[in-house]
Amino acid sequence: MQFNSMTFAVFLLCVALCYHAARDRFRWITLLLGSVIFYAAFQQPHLLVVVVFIVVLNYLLGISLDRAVVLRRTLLVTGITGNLLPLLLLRYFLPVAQALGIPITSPWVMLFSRTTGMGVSIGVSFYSFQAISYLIDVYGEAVPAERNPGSLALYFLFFPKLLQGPIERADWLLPQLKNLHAFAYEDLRYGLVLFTLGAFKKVVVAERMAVFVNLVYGNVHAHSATSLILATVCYAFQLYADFSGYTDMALGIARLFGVRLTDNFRQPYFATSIADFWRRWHISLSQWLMHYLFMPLQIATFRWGKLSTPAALIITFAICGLWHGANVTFLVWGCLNGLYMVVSLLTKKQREQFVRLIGLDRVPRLYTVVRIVLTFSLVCAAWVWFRAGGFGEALYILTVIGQAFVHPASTFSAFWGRFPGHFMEMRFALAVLGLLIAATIEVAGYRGKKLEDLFGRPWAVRWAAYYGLLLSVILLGMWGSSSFLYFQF
Amino acid sequence: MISDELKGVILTVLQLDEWEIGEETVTAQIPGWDSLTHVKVIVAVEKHFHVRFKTTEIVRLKNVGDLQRLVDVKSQIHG
Repeated sequence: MQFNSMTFAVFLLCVALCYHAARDRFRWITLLLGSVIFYAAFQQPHLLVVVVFIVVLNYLLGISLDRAVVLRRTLLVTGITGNLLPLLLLRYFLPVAQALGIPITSPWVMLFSRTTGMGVSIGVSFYSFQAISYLIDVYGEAVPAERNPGSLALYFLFFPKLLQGPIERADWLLPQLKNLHAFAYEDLRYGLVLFTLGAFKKVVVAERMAVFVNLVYGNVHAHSATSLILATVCYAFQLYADFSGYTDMALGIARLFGVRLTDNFRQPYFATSIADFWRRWHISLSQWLMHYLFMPLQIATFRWGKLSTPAALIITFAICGLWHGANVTFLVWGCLNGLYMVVSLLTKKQREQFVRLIGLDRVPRLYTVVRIVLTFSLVCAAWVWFRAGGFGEALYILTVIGQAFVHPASTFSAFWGRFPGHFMEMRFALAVLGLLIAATIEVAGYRGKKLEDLFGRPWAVRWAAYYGLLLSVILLGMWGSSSFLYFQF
Repeated sequence: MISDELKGVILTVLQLDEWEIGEETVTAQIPGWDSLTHVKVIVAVEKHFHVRFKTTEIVRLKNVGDLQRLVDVKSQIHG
């Protein structure tokens, strides 16, 4: 059941009606039941077993951690291991078995494949990480252990954020879920507009961009450097529109019920450095990694001196890559981001000296634009690994693009003559139109404008914006196609 | 109130001559204090005040006021 489907619209209406009819103290039950039905609708029984295991494990360990004076660290390690176990099994059992040469017909592999639908792990990576953060926070006495197992289950399962996050901290989400109230006009309005904005990003920008990305990445050897560069840039926009579109829809749905989820994106392609990019992209995951992995690693390796931070960075980003899947391209993508950060850290002084030498620091606006363009280029080079079908394919794409920059005269002089056909079509113009509208909204966000500002405008402006957005979704959108890209993670 | 001693340690590690630091100042408001240098600052504070923080305590710090309070509590325990 995807957010961009009619089934979900009917489901949401039913949950909203039950929620409306329920008394305040029973509202959480309607949301919990709705979330269980939402998860069960994927028809993967093993996922329900996993989520029950996670709830029971964290409920019991949370209470134990609250009471225990000794063995607290053992309880925490048990909890972290237990939370990671289902994710590791579902994600890596089959790839590891394959790497070890175990035949697919062997009894254990057959049993695993049959019971888990070849390792389907929808949502597991998100609520497992949330569960780990819960236990660490209880261990560190940042939050008290949750005494109501139902509330804890809803914290893990809350359907707007179940499939693709945001990964919510207990001190932010749990109190909200324990204090639900009747629908409020302000929340409904905000939620509906944000949901529509998310739908626009998904069905107008992401879906349309996907057509061209898939055409080029579907057969990379048949395409020129120009095509590959354009497709990679389109993929950067597709991925952002897809994931941030999903996030807007999730935040919008949660807001209908008065719940405020954490924002996951803050105009990431306006980042002026890779570190800045990671402060703006998939914020809930990068915050999680920073708090629960990078900083403990940095503390643990502090005696290594200057090696400490680079080592912690590479390990953190390698794990970030592997979190996305058991694939060497994700690992390279993660390590590449780690490497960017390390190089950036080690060359900070030299870069500052160079900027002063060429006088770029005296033109701050131009300096900012240069930094944004450079950061975006590095991010795109990393996205090649994220999107490519395999290690060899990614290497081929980067080699072709690299050669084009080594011999720019021969490659780009015939730019228009060899301009790939797909990008000259009318449907690409529609994709660009959608992108321009989305970019305008992004620029407004970059300049500090918020969605709430729209609600303070005259009614004619407000309603023109609402209908304009809705009509764009209906007229320009591509419906009934794929699921969200981060759904697989 | 942020003590001059704590402020001095922070400024030394971040190689700053002067910067206004108050209770509510968050790390992002101080040049050079980011997630990469956070632990470096904390370890320098630990060394200077002869205290030891838990990882969970370091992760939970929201502003310089939190750090000052943590230093005060730990110093009392160790003192």
